[in-house]
Amino acid sequence: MAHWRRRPHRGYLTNGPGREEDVLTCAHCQFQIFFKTEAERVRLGRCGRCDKAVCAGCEKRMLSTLKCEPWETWLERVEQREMFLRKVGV
Amino acid sequence: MPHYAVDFIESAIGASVTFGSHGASNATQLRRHKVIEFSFSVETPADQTARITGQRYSAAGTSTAVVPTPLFALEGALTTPAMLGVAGENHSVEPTYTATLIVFNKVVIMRNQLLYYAPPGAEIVVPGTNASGIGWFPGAISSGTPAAVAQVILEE
Repeated sequence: MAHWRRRPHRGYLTNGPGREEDVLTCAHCQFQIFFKTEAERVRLGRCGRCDKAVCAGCEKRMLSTLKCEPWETWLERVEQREMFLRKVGV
Repeated sequence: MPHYAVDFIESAIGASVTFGSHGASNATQLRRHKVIEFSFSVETPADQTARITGQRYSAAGTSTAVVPTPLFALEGALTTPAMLGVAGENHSVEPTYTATLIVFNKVVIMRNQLLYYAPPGAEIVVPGTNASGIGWFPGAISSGTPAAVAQVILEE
């Protein structure tokens, strides 16, 4: 049986022989996207603004709102909100 | 960045019952951490399936504390500092999950171990805000309540 070759810049998931998959992270919500073949990968959702792979939920949201919020921005927003709340003593 | 191993042991896993969680806490300093690896297996493998879910929470709930084990020392240091984040198992009060923020969802066959390695540079990041983190639980389970063991490798 051929061994699954781990590709650079991708994660890897295995659940036994024949159940190996590559992993990508949704650029908007960090949902882990699993796929087996390159054909599956090219069918993954893509954000039209940041041009990164996104999950089906974020792709749907992106198409309806045209809003692109990378997870780094989300993370900073969440942390800044907490810092502000601490400053004002809430 | 030091790595830490967090082991969760649950004597009987059930649907929507958290078997482990990790997050940032005001009790120490707040710092972000990343999920590098995740593994999950049951002690008595049978022909069952479970949907393993990782979801962000905004309140940690009540659990038995698990002390993250440092895996190797920082370069030039003899010891690795203790992890600032906190982890817990055997939840008596479930964390308050944020409905839309599921980060991991995978159906696994419980005859085999689940091993997950995060994409390099795009790991799941837990924000450095109080009481926020990620909880791991079976979103659904086909039958039974097997004993399970899970391990998360974190980078802080």
